[in-house]
Amino acid sequence: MHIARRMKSKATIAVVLAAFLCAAGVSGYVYWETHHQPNEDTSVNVDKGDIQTDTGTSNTSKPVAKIPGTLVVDMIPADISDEENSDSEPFLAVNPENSAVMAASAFTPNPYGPDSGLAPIFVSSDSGKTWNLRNTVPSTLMTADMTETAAAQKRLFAAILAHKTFQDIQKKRPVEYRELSSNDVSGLGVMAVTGSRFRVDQPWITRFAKDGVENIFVGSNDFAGRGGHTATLEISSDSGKTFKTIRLETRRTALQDGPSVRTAIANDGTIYVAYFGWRKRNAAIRNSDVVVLRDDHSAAGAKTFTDLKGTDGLPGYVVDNVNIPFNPFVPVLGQERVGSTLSLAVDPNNSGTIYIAWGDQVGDGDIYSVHVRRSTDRGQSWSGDLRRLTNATCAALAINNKGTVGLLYQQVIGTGHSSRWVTHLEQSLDGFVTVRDAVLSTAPADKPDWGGNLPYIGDYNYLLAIGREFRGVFSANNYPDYDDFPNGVKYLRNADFGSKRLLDPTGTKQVQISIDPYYFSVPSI
Amino acid sequence: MSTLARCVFVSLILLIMHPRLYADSALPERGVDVIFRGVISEIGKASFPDVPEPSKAIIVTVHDVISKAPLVHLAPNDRITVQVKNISRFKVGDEVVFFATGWIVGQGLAVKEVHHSTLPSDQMESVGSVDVNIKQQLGKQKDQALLHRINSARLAFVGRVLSVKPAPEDVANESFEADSSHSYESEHDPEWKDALVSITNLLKGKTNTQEVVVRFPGSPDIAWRNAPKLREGQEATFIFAKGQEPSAATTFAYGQGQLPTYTAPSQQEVLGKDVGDHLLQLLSK
Repeated sequence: MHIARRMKSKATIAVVLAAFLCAAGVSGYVYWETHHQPNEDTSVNVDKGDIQTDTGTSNTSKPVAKIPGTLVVDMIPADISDEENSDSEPFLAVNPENSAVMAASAFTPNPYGPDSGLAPIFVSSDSGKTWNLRNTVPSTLMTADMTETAAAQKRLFAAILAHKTFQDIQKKRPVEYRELSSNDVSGLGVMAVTGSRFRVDQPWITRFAKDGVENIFVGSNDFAGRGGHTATLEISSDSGKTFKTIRLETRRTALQDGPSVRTAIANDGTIYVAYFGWRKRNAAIRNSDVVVLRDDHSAAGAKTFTDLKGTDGLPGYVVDNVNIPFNPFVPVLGQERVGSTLSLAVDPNNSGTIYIAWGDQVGDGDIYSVHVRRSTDRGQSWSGDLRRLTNATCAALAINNKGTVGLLYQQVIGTGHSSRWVTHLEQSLDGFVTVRDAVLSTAPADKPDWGGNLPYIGDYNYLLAIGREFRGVFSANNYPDYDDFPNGVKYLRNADFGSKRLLDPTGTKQVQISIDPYYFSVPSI
Repeated sequence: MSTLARCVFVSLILLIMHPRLYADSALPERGVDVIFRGVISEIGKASFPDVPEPSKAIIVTVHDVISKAPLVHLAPNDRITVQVKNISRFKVGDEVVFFATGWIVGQGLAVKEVHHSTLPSDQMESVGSVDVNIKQQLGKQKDQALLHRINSARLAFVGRVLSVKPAPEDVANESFEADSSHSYESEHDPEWKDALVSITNLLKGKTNTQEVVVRFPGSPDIAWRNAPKLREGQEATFIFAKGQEPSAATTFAYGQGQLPTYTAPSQQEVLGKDVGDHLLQLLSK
């Protein structure tokens, strides 16, 4: 009742309308046009035909038709239909010269086993309709973090944490940071290791081309940073051959920064980078600055990322100081751990407009909340929350050439056996005053059991703006039920949606549900 | 499979088969994931779309699968694509044993040739025995690898886990790449735990106590996805190599430092109980 009182009249009308449609047996609505009041807590949850509102909801929603042209694909290939692995934390790269060709990664083990010392990467050559797994990543069996980016001339660059051999593990070094490159995004040969070292967490790669040269950026939490200044950016201005190390942090830290370092690059060469500057530790809470830096000269000068300063005169504007729950060994939200959600996107044609999304704990009963804010003056001032999404994670932002902002996120609704992970792609042209929301998946959140394996769906997922589409990847429960995929779904693996069973490649044996990576493309507004 | 093991394996295969079969053989340069025998059906083609450079590939109709990972679905009469090193060496109708590295899984399977052996047409009646021999040698190789590990072990035993506790605080959060000044916090930290293990059957080495502590990474993180996760009541075979000495006594979770503590960060140190039983048989021969 308390929630209802806080809803505005339009939202109430929308809920009543939706309830009426559901009661009347109208199904198949799959996205919502939502009108929000910026700077207020807003969220809409869709759960199998019911609208639920959570704390602080203030919006207007109306069900509209299925978004034509939306594609959602379970990427697990048919030939390994009996796999029951937790294929979480997906990432995506699109060939800039032929967007039909893409590479993607997840915590998917090499189906052939560990003997080759290789891990697989997903490859599609038909705009994501089908995917193959190709063993081309130098990491034993699987990776422990992987991000990749595709460049001109079919090149693919990646930054990974590679699983090591038993000999290395016995030295207590189970993973090694590696920079990789390949001349063929489609997985012709094994990717070359161009650099490696230990003591690096959550590498995150992006790129842009200038004068025919690929500029590669890898954000990471590099524990080699002295004085607790661990937020780091590796920069290559020679197509990944060599990298220079930039320590981003200039303020006092709580011995280190947070794991996430994210970059966003505009067409004019303006580069933004965001990170969590940990300031205090208190049990499982990390008090943290959300810091944004900017470089106006393609990071090519002697002093990089000093063009945006905070009120203290130091490089990096502090968007907010927040409390982040950080216990990476305990699942707290829909069987998932939290603590490193961070995303950044810049308007490619207007480098003054930038959006940021991060996760923290507000303290009003939330477990974890995603905030979305915007700057229209190159990061010198920021809005309040344009979106606040209670108990959500894995936020990913992208902005297309038209200025449409895409926001991918995954939110837990309900509790216990009725809880669900709902994956949304929201789009907005007006700073989230109005939103078109495509629900891509509403999978049960209590199944499968996390089984002592984290991350459950991933510490992150990914979204890209490609032409007139938003393309991305997320991971979710693979229970074969069309009701869980309001915008439809295509399974490459063997599944019987009639009996709601997964089947092995022969179609004779039932396979247990697990976490799978999903590719999607949604036409932009 | 280590380089040494691969060399031993291929040498054994060469010894047990007719020398004519291996006139053009070469030692594998990388791991062998799958071994199968089949007849070449098509040359310069792939059995499914999206195989890069199909002109360098052949299609093989499988006659027998000699070795493969459980998740790989390959059976007699399946068509598999093989990217070969030199396509001119093959012709349609050849009966070939392939030692291959897994490459693509999708709408079909594609592998890369590590090594191959063409079976002469006048020896086709013996192809079944060739397969059996290879399988036997695979088993022998596995046994030899186990025996080698036992021979080079400091301590090996079959044991039962009596209890599991977090490791003492000063080491529980020790990063696998800990800095000397302080321990950084990472999603990939090991979260060490200590298992009190009762030795039920000593296979190699000496210990003054019937119980030892086995320290293992308790972290659920992806970095330790394939590490041993010991639980109370579990029976297992433990093998600790020379160089894996028991650690200093002061930080033990059990016995106030009176029990030796061995570290088991990988599945190399903790094997199934059946492995220990098999080892006992091997050692008694």
